[in-house]
Amino acid sequence: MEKDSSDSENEGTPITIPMPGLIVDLLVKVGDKVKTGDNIAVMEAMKMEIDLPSPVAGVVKTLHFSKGDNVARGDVLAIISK
Amino acid sequence: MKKTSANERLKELISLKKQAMVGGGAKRIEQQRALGKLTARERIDLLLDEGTFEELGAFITHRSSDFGLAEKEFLGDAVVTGSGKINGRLVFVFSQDFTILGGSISEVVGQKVKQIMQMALDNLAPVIAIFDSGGARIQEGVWSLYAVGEMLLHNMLCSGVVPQISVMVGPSAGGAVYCPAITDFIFMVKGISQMYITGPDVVKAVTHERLSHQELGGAEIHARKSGVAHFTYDSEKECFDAVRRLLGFFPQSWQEKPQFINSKDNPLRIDKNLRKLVPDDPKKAYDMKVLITSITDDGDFVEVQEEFARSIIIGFGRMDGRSVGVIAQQPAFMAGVIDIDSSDKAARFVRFCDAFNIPLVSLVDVPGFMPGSAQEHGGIIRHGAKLIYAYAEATVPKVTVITRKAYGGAYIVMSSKHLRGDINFAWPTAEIAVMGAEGAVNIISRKTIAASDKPEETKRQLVSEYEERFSNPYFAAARGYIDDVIDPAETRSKVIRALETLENKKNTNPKRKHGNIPL
Repeated sequence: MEKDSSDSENEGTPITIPMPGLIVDLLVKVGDKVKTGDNIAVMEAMKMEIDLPSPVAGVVKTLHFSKGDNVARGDVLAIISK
Repeated sequence: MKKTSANERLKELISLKKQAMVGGGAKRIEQQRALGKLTARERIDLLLDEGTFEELGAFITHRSSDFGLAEKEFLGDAVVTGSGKINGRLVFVFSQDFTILGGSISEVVGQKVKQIMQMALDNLAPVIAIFDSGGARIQEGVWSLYAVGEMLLHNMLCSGVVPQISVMVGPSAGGAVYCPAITDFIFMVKGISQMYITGPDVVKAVTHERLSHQELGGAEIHARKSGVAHFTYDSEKECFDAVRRLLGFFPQSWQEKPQFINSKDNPLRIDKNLRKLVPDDPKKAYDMKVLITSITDDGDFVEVQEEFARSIIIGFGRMDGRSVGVIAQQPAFMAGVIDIDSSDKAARFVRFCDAFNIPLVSLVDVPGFMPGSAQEHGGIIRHGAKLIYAYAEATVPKVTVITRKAYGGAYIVMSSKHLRGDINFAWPTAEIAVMGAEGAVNIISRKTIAASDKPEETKRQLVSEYEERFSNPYFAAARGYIDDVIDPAETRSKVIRALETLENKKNTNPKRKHGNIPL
């Protein structure tokens, strides 16, 4: 089975923002270990708090936003490496 | 042929039948296995009840002689066709044979498939199409285009008459990939299925984009990104089991209702946990699947397009034995907004259920359509309109339960009374309004707030008043737009009773050639 080409470029799995909003809480820092489903951040959009869980288990390699930042759909919030 | 005895003729038949069974021959079957794939006939065996397959056209051979094809004659050519039973129900099936000339579509493949689909129409039984093909048989030139065209035409003719299910267990490329595209549900198998109009080689040559077969059109891409695949599985066996299961929710044709399949699950079953499902904090999400599996028989729910447009959930379940189509927001994903993809996903599902007499159960917690330039420029106006049209057009029983938010246009679209929702319920936590309190107050009381010496406090008070007046189901219930406000614990029994009441419901739409649903 072919690997997703973006995986090999960034050596990790990106967590992508699904819709425009505001980061209201950042729950991890770079270097933290996470399990599949662990919440990385909470964003607010459409007057609701939306969880942003990690789709994989691994280590938080990079974080691109902090609490209070505006984010757009498709922005990469974080990269989780194996 | 020289004169031979009946006995010898019988021996000859047995020998020819054996030959037909091996399709392209032992070596090609080996190659198929090496790719982790089953043969055309093995797939039919997995799909159908044991011993029920009646093959038609095993002796059909192609008529071409160009490009050395005269030496490559195969009994049955590159497709196995016939009828059989699934859980005792008649179905028609065609299964492309990759071992014969790469499963390529020839004039006679088209002829065989056309016959099967015509029989499905004449006998009103579902069609199961198993695809594994390199595409049109180039050596046959325009004859192969005729074949693909005939298949496409018959997909359209069968559409809405009998259920059509496609199982992609190999490549499907070029014009022929539009065949499964026209059918009702597409199954794919990870690592084995590929669907694309143009393959990676041509893509690389023309656009310089480098992608593997899986990246361009494999099961995961079509499950997650394009929404083309309705179901994906890890193995062919799981896949065919799932096809058998799915068919159980459908009738044989548009002229019947789906079969009742009784369960021991009490139709009056109460679930007190549902009273705690909606969080007190309006900003917090919850998992709508908890409600879905609480109200369906035995918690069974077959979700469709699970990984695509996840802010809306669609799928099949049973309620007191009755097959139903469930549509629900998923508040835990993107706040349950309706966007372009979720509009498309739900609209087609609504129309399938309507075509085949499957009642619709809609569970609503929707804050609105997703705003922003990405959606507007992408045409949310055209796509959202599909869902409105589909719900309005549907004449099957429509039962709706609003659990929390139902704002504005999204309230209207989600099977409201105004679109001929038959029985509309709301939980006490429902908020049915033109928009959220804050948004409304900002508009209505703009001047009051601006004129106040403490604008923030004034606004807060006005928001609170608005919430008390409108953020509840009673304003709508007072108008009869909500038929009953219900205890969440009783949702299953209320919906089942409603469906019983609506069992013989009849609705019509004006006579016309057909409407013009926005596409």
